[in-house]
Amino acid sequence: MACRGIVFNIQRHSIHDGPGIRTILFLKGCPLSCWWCSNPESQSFARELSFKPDACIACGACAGACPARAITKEDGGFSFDRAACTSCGACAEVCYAGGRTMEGREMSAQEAVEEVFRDEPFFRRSGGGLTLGGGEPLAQPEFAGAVLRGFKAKGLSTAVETAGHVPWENFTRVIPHVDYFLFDIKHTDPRKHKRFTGADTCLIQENLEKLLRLHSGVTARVPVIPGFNGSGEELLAIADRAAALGLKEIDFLPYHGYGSGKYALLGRAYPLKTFGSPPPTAEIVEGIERLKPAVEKRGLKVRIGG
Amino acid sequence: MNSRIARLKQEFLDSIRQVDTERAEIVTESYRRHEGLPPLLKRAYVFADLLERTSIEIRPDELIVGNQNKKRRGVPFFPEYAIDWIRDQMDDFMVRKGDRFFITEEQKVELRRIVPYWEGRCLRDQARGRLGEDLKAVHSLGVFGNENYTMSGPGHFSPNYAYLLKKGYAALAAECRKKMSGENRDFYEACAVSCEAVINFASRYADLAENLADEMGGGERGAARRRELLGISRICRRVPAAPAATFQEALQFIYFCQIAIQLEANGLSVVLGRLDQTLIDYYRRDIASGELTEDSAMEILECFFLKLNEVDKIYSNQATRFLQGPGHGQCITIGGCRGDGSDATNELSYMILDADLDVRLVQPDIALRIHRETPEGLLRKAAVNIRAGINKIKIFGDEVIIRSMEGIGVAKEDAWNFNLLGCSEAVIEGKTNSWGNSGQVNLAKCLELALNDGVCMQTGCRMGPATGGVEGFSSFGDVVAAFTAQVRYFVGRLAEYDNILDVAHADIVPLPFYSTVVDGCLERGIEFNRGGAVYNTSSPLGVGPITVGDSLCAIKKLVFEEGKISFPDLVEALRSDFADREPLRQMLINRAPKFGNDVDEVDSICNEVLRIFCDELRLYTNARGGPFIGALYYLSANIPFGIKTAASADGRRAGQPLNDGGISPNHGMDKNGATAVAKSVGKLDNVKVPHGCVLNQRFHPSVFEGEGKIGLFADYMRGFIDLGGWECQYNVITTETLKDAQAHPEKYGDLVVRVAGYSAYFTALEKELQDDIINRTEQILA
Repeated sequence: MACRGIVFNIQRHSIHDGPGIRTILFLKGCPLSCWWCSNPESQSFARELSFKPDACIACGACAGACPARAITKEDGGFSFDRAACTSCGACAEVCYAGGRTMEGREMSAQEAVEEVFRDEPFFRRSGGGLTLGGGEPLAQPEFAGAVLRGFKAKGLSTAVETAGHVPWENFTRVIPHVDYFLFDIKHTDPRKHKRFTGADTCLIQENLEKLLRLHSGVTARVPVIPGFNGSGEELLAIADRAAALGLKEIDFLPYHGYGSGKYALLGRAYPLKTFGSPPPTAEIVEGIERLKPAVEKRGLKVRIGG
Repeated sequence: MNSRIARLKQEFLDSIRQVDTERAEIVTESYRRHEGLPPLLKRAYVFADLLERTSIEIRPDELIVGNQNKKRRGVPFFPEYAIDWIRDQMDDFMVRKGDRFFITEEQKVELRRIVPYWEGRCLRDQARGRLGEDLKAVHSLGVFGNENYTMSGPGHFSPNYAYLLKKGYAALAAECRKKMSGENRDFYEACAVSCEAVINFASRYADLAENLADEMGGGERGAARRRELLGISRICRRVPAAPAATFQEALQFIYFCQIAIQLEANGLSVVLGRLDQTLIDYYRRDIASGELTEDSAMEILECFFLKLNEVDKIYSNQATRFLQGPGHGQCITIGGCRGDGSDATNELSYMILDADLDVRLVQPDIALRIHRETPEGLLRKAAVNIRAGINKIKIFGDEVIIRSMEGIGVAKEDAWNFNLLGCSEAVIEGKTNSWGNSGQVNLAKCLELALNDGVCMQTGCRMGPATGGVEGFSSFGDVVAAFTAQVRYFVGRLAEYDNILDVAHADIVPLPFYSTVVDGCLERGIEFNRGGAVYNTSSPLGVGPITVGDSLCAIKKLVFEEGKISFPDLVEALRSDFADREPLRQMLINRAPKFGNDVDEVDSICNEVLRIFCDELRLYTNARGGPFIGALYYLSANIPFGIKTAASADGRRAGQPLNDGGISPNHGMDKNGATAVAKSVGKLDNVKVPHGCVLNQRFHPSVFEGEGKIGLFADYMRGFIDLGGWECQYNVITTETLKDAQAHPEKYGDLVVRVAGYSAYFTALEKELQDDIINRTEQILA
């Protein structure tokens, strides 16, 4: 339990990510970089600075604290040279208004288990527990394994949300301690997959097949992204794949842009913007509803939104 | 909802809130006529006059009948309690900020005509004369107040309907008449007259129903209504004189009593108690005999719910700021345990929730008692109502409340049989005169004074005792001691003030009819206001405890532990309302933990605040021989008190509201989700607060979206009760709320929207995404 990991968020009272009332421990760092990612701060394995100009009260404390001199006084305000920033966190220390914060904090597995365990009464009442999310939680296999083992030992349920693009050994470290896998199938076309996520489907597909031989609690999760996989044809191809693999449940997660604003805070652009603006969530949900009977015909239990 | 209920509801919604001067006129004339009688008898004969002469009406479609006065939403006046506000504010009734009432120029003339009689005679004027100059001066500072108990009767109790329905008022009147030959002759005569007055009131309705039946036109509809009216006539002829024999009789009996209690003395929170328990035998008997079907029983229950909404009240401008809205706390308690610990839930518990979902009006309030054996189905049904936007359902924890009742001297054999008043106060069914909501103390002001040697930071006036400047405080303990001293002073003065009022009520406005509905008075021959009830309490409210706890925690951490700011510097910043000190204000907000996040460091300090307030109160005994007990709920008192409070060390600016609800986290400060809030609340020693700690929580409807989520909400409620929560009320936000949040993000920092793997703070999103969520919300709620 001594091993340490990097976590970017702990979200309590989560009810759409595995059974019951759960706490999601979001692990930082991901081998993929999906264009629609709603947690851009989850992608890098390192701590990084987030700067939210709206919260800035222009007190200037950050300029004084920055060892890299990335923040300088200008007429009527301050300018920030993102390229010079080393994400050391000195400015966040003195930024009381919360304009500058550090994404990601190191914790030991023990600390993480204790933190999540705080909601024990709700887990027991509802059959809930811990869900590891990300980022890609299995990209920190040692930490993930220790947290899952520690939590499982308390007699509570565990779940892992994974995109599957990690060495198979990473799975083998956690499998005995996991009750539910929520496994992404984002697309069946390897080339399209590679273009939009940074990796093809080979390793993912192989891992999923192996996992299904060893574990019965696997649910397919499909982020429904207009312009990427949102057509009926593409979604049905995914359903076919899932059914062929012997999966029983499939969750469709309609695209939302809630994370889009966070890219700018990290000094990055939102890749999906290149498509123009996506349709309203309500429309995406309706599209999935229309498809539902066809997917159910393939022997899959369908949930929209988990 | 059937068409009758739909029509009745529409008529109610189409009617306007308006004043009605009839009661004031009758009472004034009758007081004059009975001038020579002792107060107890005078009140009884005035009450009898009133019930004989007040206009009555039976409206089309009604199955349950009875009115406070002729107009559907007409509000009566009670000049015997206070006349100044009527005299001075009648021109404001139609134009003031909240709770407007229609009034005509003729009505104003009528009111002005009676004013001189009541000046100097009414309770408020006489009580003011008893206060003494010193207490008057302290009261005028506004650190504590009790407006409500100077303008109406005490209310805040549950009649013993289970007993009364079986007894009947004819038998009760006869017993009183018999006891007139012994001690307390006047008291029993007054009670007998009151009992007979209510029987007479009902028989006037019986006559009216009969007359209306005679006038009924032909045709099928006419004949059907004629039959109904004859049925109503028969029922009003029987109850409340005789014991109720059927479900409809029982509800009619109860409604007559509710109206009579209101007409006698006004009073908030005259509650219906454990109605599922009281009515179940009548219901089952009627279903078994075929007298009723489930549908017809539902229709009668819904008619009753609609009638409860007609009981409306007008208050002074000042009181309106503390008690806004047309809900007057006629609460129904459902579920909970029996004396042997077994579950008391029955078919009516479910039916009451169904009726409420159907009628969807502000009254009645619904209190759901939860204990280990509460069936899953009942919780789920409650969750369904909550999802539908019925935000008045409150959940209560049996175990904590029973222990709390025993802690204030309630006998073990009574403690389990509590019900809830309009906010969160627990009283014993039919046995308690609670004086709930008898004043408020501004706890945040007490902390302000503790940091400024007892001197108001806003005005520079001395208000509290000199407890020293912060320069002399060498530890956090010194701060707590100064705060405690300020609370001690104002709680003591409030107790003194309340007791003067309490005695004034007994002397000036005795309540013979109240005395017939609560256990103890008739047995012991002691009037309600004199302490006749089995249990007597007084329970002032502490306002802003979480504002205080968060502030104290910031002081402890940033001044004493980390030395990030000097104490005098902090106080200077508070005095100046953080002028040019924004970084400091941000530090206070973001670098010290806040209540509602499951952080022991601050939760324990909030608990200490609660303990200080409640322990100070327990040092006093009220005029009726019962204890002063604490309560941490309030309706809107956090707003007027906030205006009169300087900036606080939690980063709140001067004049801004204090924390709402009672123990709800400060707006936007709970950032770890609903379960963390429940954990924080569970750490409070709720048992110490016998009139309850109120938590308000709001949820986006996404929390109910998807398969099995209703069940998860039920689990969440149960988890909150497992943790030792007293009360929680849930507010499912609507698209209107979201639009308000777009306009006023500072009020909605805690508003979370959930989707799989993600939850977003609504106010942190861009406008177009917020709009998307608003559209989505409409879809979920549709």
